[in-house]
Amino acid sequence: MTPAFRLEGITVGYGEIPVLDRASLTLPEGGVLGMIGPNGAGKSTVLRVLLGTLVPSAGTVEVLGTSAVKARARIGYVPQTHAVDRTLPATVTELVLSGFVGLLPLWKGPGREERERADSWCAKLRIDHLRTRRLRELSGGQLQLALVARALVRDPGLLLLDEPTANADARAEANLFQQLEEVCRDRTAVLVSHDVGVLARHVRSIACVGGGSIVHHDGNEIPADTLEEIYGCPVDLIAHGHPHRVLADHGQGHVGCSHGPGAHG
Amino acid sequence: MTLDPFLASALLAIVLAAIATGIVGTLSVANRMVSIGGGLAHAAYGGLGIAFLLGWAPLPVTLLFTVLFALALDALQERLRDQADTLTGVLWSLGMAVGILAVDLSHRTAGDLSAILFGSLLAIPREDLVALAILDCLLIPLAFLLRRALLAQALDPEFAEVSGLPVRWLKRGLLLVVSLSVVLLMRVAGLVLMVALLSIPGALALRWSRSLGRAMALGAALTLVFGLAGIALSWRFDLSSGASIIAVAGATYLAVALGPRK
Repeated sequence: MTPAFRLEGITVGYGEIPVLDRASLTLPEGGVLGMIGPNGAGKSTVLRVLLGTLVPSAGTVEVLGTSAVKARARIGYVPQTHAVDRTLPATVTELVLSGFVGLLPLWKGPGREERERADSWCAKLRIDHLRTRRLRELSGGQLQLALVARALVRDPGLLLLDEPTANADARAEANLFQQLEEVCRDRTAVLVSHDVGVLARHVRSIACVGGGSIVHHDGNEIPADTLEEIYGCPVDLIAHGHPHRVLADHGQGHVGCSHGPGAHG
Repeated sequence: MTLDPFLASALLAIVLAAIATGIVGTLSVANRMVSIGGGLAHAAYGGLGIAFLLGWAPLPVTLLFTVLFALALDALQERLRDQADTLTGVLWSLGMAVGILAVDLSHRTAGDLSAILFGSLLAIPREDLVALAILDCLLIPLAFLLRRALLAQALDPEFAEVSGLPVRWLKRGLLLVVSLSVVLLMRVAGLVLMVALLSIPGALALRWSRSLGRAMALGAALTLVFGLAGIALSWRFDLSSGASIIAVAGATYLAVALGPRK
């Protein structure tokens, strides 16, 4: 079976310093991979390599059975919300329809089929009531769902989400993951997050990025020693009554919080 | 009552300039290219100086010089991505310096060039009006056909690129039309004041519109209003037309920006 992607011994970075040094990661098709790691560890770098906007100086990259650039038409990318200029005059519908760029000729607008597909994803993600709203009128969570809809109208084989819950409150986060579970039943997704606990509850497997390498755990339980290694600080897993557990550190900053039974402890 | 021929030319020029400014200015603001537009407007003085030195027709030489300057800026920004802003500033001054040196080398006084530096709407030549009309005829269908792609690029350039939109070519195309516009609009606002014409109507239009297409149309309407008000001031009080237009536009922008938010 062709993997969703294969990174083999890649060395990649910015300038002279490599962020990833001979790192490897192969993801089988189907399910959600969570990717965690401290700031600057290389999580977004992995996404850029998969998108083909960053080319490793060494190693092999294969996405959906081809090169990263050739696979772009079959990738749905959900950036962080700050990537979108919300001051521009665009509605949610226009944002979602902009997902068809690159699939249609430059001068051709979306037709009835494309509009129906966009409406359908807006309905599935429960943002159909926001379609005529301007982007500046949306909350962070609503904009995030609109960005997910924009990625999904491309019917991607691989969905890449960069910190999708960064600007969402607890309710919006729960809604986002509920919708993601639905849409990721028949596709592969990579979800980057700082929040170990949230990831553990919603993903099939977890990749820890840090120290120039990627460690893949098949399953959603993260050994404490792996977290200590990538975050560079001692880590305790503390239970706050079943099923709420908090993952805390010994004084060098908060690592993450789990709201479910997924975290290892 | 017959309309003064100078005033008639000025009114026609402001209508033609409004169309170009509405489209190019709005796209410049949406794509965060205002400082690049300002840089190209100043760099155009280099072409003007060279034409003055060689005794050639100013319009074609300045057009060619500015377009080449824009392409050089694009190539250098691509190569030195982390210094894009500095590069714009350097080329901005360099273009002006080339123009000043060329005028110095000609050993003639550059009195004629002040009309281009600061605008001279009431003395706009017929060939400039024809060139502006041709520019408008190119811009209107291009903006209409590419509006969705241009919006996608402005909204989220990274997504647009990874989705297969030719963002590099669209950016080069925008640079090209900004270059053409600053040269053809130089007698309307003046090269020194051009950046205001490329930013104020577009910024206000983007703020008040619900779509990019409507913003371009509103940008054109606002330029027309600012232009007519500026011409009226200039005609009535014998003031510089370019500076009068920019004063009206600038005052409006500040009143809106500092006024109560909705």
